[in-house]
Amino acid sequence: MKPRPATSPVRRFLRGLANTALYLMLPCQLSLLWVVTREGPIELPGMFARLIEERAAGAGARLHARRYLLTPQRTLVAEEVAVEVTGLQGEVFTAARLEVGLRLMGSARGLTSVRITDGRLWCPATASARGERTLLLDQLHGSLLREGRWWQARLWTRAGKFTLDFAGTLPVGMLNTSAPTSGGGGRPAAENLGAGLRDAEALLNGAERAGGGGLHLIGAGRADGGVDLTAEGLLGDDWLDERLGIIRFRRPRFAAQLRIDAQGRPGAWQLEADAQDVESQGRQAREMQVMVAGVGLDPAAWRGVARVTAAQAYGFTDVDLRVEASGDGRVPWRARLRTPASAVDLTWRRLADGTSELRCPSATLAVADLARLPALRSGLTDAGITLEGSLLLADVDLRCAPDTWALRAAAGRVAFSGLRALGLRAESIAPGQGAALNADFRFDAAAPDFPLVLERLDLAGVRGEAHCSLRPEGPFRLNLRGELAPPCLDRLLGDWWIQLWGLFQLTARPHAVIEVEGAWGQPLRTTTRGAVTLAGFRFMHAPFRSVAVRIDADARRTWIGLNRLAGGAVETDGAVDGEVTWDWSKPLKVAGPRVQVSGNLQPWIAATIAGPELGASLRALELPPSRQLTVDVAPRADAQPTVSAKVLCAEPFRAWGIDSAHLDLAVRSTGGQLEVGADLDLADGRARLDLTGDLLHAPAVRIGLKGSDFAKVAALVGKLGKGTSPPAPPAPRSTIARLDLNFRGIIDLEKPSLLRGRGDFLLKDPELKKVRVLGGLSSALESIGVDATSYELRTAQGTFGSLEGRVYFPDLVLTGEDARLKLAGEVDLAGPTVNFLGDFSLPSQGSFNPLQLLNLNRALVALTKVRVKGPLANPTTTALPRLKDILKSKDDNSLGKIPPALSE
Amino acid sequence: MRISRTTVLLLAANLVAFGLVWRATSSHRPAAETPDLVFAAAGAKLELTDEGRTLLLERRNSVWRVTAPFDWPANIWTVQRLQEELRFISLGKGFPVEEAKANGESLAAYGLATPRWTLKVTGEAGGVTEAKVGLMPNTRKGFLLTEDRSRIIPLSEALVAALETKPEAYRVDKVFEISDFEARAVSIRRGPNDEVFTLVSETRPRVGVAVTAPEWRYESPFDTLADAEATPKAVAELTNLRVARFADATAEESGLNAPTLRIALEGNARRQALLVGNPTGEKGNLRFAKLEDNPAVFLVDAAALKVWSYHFPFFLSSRPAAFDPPLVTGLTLSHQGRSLTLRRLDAAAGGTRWEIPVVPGSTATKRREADRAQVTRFLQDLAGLRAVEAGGGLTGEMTPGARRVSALPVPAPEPQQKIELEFGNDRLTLLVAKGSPGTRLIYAKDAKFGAECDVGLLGGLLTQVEPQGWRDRTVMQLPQGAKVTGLRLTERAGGKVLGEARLAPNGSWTGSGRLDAATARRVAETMAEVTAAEFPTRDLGSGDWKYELRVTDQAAAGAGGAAESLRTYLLAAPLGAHNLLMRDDADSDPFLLAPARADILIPLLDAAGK
Repeated sequence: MKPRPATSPVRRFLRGLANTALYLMLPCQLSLLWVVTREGPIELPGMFARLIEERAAGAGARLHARRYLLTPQRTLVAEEVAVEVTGLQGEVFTAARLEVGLRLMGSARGLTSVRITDGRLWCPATASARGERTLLLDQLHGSLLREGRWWQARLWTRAGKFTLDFAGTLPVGMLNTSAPTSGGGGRPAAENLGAGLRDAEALLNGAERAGGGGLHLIGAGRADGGVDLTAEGLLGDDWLDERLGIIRFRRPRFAAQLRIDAQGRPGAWQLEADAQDVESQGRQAREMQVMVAGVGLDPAAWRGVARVTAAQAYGFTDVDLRVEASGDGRVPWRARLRTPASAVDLTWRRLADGTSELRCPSATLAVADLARLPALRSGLTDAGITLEGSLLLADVDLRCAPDTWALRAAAGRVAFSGLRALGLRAESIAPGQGAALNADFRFDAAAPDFPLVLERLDLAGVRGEAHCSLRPEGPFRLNLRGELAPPCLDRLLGDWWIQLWGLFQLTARPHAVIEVEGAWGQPLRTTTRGAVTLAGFRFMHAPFRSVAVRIDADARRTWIGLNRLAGGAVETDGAVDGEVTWDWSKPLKVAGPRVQVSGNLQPWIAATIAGPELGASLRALELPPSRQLTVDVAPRADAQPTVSAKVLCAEPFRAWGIDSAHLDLAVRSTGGQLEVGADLDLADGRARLDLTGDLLHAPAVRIGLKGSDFAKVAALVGKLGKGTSPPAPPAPRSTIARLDLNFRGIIDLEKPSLLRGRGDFLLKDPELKKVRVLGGLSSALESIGVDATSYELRTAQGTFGSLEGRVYFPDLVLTGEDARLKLAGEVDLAGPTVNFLGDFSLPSQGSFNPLQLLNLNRALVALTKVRVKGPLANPTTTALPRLKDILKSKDDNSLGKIPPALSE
Repeated sequence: MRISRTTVLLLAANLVAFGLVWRATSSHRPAAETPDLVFAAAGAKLELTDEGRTLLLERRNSVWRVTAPFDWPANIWTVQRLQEELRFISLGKGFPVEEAKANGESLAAYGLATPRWTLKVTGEAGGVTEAKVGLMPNTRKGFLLTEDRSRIIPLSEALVAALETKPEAYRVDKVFEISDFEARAVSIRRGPNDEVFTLVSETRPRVGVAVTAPEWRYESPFDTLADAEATPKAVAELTNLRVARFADATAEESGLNAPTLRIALEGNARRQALLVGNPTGEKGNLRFAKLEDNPAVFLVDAAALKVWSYHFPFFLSSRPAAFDPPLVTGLTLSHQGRSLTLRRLDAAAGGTRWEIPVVPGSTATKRREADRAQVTRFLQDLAGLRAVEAGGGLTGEMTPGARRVSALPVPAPEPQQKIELEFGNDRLTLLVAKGSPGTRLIYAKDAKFGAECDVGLLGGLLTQVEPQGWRDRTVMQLPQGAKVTGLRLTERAGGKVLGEARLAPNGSWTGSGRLDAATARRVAETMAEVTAAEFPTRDLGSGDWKYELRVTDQAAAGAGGAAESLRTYLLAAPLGAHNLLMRDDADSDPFLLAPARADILIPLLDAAGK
């Protein structure tokens, strides 16, 4: 017998090991063969159930099932399964049947399928916010089947009033990443699950307020292993809110898309929702839409659009609102608001310091819409601001505090078509222009004095700036330039402004540069400075061409500087400079205006200020441009101001057609009483004129003439009597008759010939009168050198009285070297004509002169009546005694007698 | 190594066993996903017969329609509600008919002997599932009998309620199927004279506008632009027009045999026309209407159609000057026979500059730099002009959204201002006439329509034909690196020096008189950039030039050394605390110094007149 070759122990061990493995594997394979060839599932023994439940317990869950089955498809089925989670009281998940497929070998080992039948998901009482077990999902049916990188999923369930449905593919990685984690440093699995269930319960509670609906999800796999999820929801009407009550809406719709990558991470997503006929607490909208899109969970990557159409709320109707929002802090939010009358475009973004920035490129705000905001309405009322029409805004930039949204700063442009503030409004500034008010505004809440600044202010053509405090009694500063209608500032500047412009009748709008500083509601703190130029206006009825008015006014004093107050219509009418002041520290009646002006203004223009009639009466006073006028008007308590005026004119001038020069005129009017004193050259002499009383109602007059040319005076008197008709030229003379005259009486300046009063005079005239006793014979004798019958009279002296155009000379004495003629008579200034009658007397003879023998009628001289009659400038004189004169002499006894009225 | 027979036998037995297992499992098919559901998840056709009355729902191009007893788009919510409930009918919840019979119950006990409803669902693949539904006579609870009559399944109340829904509830209340985004044209035929107005949405080039998107325009009876806001809104509202309720009415009663209004809406390759008939309702607030190709008569809210009943101005463009401001290359303003031209200069270093050139007809007598911010704002405000709300003025009643746009009379109103805008070689002329209070009538030359606009933001610029009114307010600005080194203030009458200051090389100022060191520094800063508040064109009452301020500037140090130059300003007596009239001796335009700068100079000067 051949001995068996020796085998190594290693070989024996390996052979034994292989045989043992094959021995063990064979019954397993036979068992598996038995299973897979059966028609129905096989119930697994209790040992296997305990094994599974122990494994589950190791993962923190308690798994219960009525029985476990192994199906011929090699899937594990648990019937009437219930899952509890350690730490949560009660079952979390139950299902009538849960089927799980597992691949134990190969590269794709792991879960291959899951199928749920009639599942329920519960929120345990310990996790519930309400403290009671809540059914979250009911009638959950679904299946997941792994196909390569995909899960083919089909799932549907009920959640309260909602039905949920999912169909399509999901990436395998998504389920892997969503597998719950436990242990480690994170929250315990039970805590995570509890939180998740609580959130789901809250979501369900919210959904319970809705009218129900269905949510359908479709997953579509992509080549990169990801999936596009599409969700569409059809929701029931209405929503019940805890605070807002029933929110009614119709046809709500919801749609969403989500891209999930191969690892199950969310990518781009979009969510859309809309509803129609929305109504809550009286607020309505015909349609509301929301669209939100983003990428993953990046809070900066989302953007959204919300739209409200035809809304009615807070008194507004037919409002359209569109808001575009973004999570990217660099991208501003945009809002577009439309009402039938208003349109607003806004952008909003949060700056790095947390401040909110609101920008409005353009907006039209109807005042009717603004008035619907109670806070704004009451604010405007308190500020005394009235708005009409529309408010236009442009380039508005608002900065608001991070948390409180309190306005910190603002800038932009604004235009009002119907603003009325402090009495300022476009129509009052530029009447009839239909202009608007616009400005660039700048608001800085931190500015100490003037948080609100209006620049490039254009108030109906008046430009400028305004600095305003928004505090009650806070300061303001207004700087205006342009043509303005003075009444527009009445309310702002007060009485003195109203009084000032009450004196003017404007034909063109004045141009003003006005600075007003003050405090809201504190008129006594208002100061006004500036300049106003006027053209073509009347000041207290007097016409003026132009003036530059300087203004410096405060609560104590108002100063008006008049620069080049040019009167009349032409340059030669002159101008004055001066000032007008109001001293408000004095009682109102004597506060002003105090006027002090000087220049070369024509006196009649200044006189017109005192009264149009007076001005008209002085128009005939024509002074050359070198004239000087000084006027001082001081207020009086009795409302009639004291007026002092002085006119100086050295150059020749004409007054009432009379040539004159060296005028020194002083006028003083006090309490209705006028005093005029004038010194002037008159008829080659010097004249003094004093007027007192009411110039328009027969003022008292004193006239004094010294050394005046009598012929010119006579011509003047003739002119006064005949008005504008030229006087008859005086007869040529070789000598000048000088007249001294004093008169005191009453004069009507409009009819100066109707002087009333008395006076005296002395006329020295070498050619005054030659009395020829023998008439023509005396003339013949004079021609041959014999003048014994002629007597020359060289002076005339006497008193006179003037009344109603007639001048009475009761005691006119003409005196010569050898004779004396006493006359009595009258001058009719209307002619002017003279009518004198007198007696001629010769002086007593000292020695005999033979030639006097020729004077045969010397004895008759006493009987001779001398009559001077005819035109004043060239009267006829008759000296021969005539019977009729002798006879009629008695009739002329009253000639020249001063009427008794003048003697009173 | 030699393998033992035992091992071979065991291996062979294992292989055979594995092969048998493989063979057995390879023939396995996955179980159906929803083996116990009665109906397919998504049907393409639903036929519900309720005691002889058939409701037929069909999905065409993903849109559900009711095709019987009438033809109308279906309310997706109602259809979906029925579908959802059908989906949850599970065989597992039912019981076999035999079992019921075994318990002594017949089909009649479940209302299935003569079932009320017959439900037929056709799947997308064409498979048909039919079931009968009856109501238990006592409890009114619903039961379903499967197609093979083998199982009875109790139904939820929600499903019974869905089955009981009337066919009318399946009709969507939206009149038009065309959505607002696809609407391309709206044609209106209205009134006894059969007036026709057609609005089309199209892209067409316009002068001064870089149009890229379609715009709504009137195509007939005239060719003009429609309002960019009101028209899309009205079209959107039209496409969303809702049926108030369906009605049975004769043609005479409804007036639809001679409709007063016919609105045709064109979308992408489809067209729908709405005929509107007589008013009805308690206050006449409803109108009979029908679609041209559908016999169903319904009522619509009369107010919703009101905008289509107005005469054409309602949709006319309310923006008379809709142009793109950046495209403007020049403009000429004319007012009261005088005109001013401004021209854009494209600066190479970025930013746009504007000049006031001397051109024939212009009031400019010398070239000036224009204030570009002012010009830009003017153009923006001009382009943004929009007709004011019409109120009751347009239609005789308050019409929300209506604007004051109206046909121009012949001849057109005499314009008060004219604005000619140049866009390269193209030109747009706008005319401004007096409008109603607070507005101006704006219209383009040769236009048939004008809009009354609130021109408040334009302020006085519409009438500003003085070059000074547009001039750049920066009178002088020292270049980078240059500085003021000397100041000398003198009184012109008599030449008395009021103050003088000089900048020392060490950067400190030394001064005398009114220009002490501190004051001189402030004045120097002021004079480094002289900015005007405005350039007045008339006497401000400031009197003659009273002072003279001579400023010495030093250029930035360069290769040629720091050269000095002089500039002289004439100053009038201050007009207040913040207003100072000045003039550059080398410039003919006097200007009011900007108040912030005037505040520094005025304290150096004597107040005027006192």
